[in-house]
Amino acid sequence: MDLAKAGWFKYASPVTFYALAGKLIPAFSVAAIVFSVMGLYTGFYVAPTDHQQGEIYRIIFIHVPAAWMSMFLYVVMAGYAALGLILNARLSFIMASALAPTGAMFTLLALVTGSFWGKPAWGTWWVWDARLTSELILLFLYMGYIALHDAIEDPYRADRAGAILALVGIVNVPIIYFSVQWWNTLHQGASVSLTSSPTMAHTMLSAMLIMALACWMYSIAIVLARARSIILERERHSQWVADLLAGYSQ
Amino acid sequence: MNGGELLMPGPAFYIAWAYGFAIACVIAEILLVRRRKRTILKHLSLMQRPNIESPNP
Repeated sequence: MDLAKAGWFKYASPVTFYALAGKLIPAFSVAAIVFSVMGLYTGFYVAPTDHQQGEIYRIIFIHVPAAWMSMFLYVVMAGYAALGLILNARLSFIMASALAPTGAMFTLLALVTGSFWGKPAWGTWWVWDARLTSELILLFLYMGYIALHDAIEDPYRADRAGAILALVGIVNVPIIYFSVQWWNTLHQGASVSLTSSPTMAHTMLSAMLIMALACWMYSIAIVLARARSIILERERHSQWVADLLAGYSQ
Repeated sequence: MNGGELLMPGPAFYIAWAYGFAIACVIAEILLVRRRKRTILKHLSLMQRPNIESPNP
């Protein structure tokens, strides 16, 4: 399919994207709130108590979606970075840099909520287990990307240096995912996978998936909001930004 | 039950901290994004103003 004919390139323009993102943010924000309320209600009031872990397992409803998002956002970030390098598209680099802080936040959240689960379940806050260590490396990769990007003043060079780091770091994502299979870890294996049926109660799984959707909607909303700010920063000398500000002040 | 087990907080303690931390992270991120937008808009509106030369002393 001819991309130009399909009109996709129109959305690669920061001007078009800025307006479109502004319209999409409220919808995704509302969806995030609705799914969060539904997920928390299902997780805390509908899902039964686990026969082995008791009530403490309810941390799963934030821990697992946060861990999924941490990996997923990194893959999306690396994808945008690759697109930026291949197509030389400014918007792809903007999206990659807008995704990094949210990805880092979800990685930190997965690690911290995991610690709050680990202490009562394993008797320790932290172990140098393959899953935990590779997730910590993911946090360092996000922080490294943000630091590298902010350290270089020229956005053109910063985008390219960050993109290369993001692409090199993607090797860590399958290591995180398969770490529980490749190594003998304290962390439990996957309760949900694409190839086998889930090993948890239906209501528990529903709550977890609804919370994952909430995290997804939140990520889209906050990344679009950050991307709009980055676009304004980078396009500050262009006429359309001047027109936009004139519209604000009227 | 030994003394150590007596001192161990219940599941509600860990659950409250985990969800509390999650909510704090989300609020912090939203505030940071809003502040960034406000800062850039303020900067841009200053850039738009016509230059007013200061009078000679």
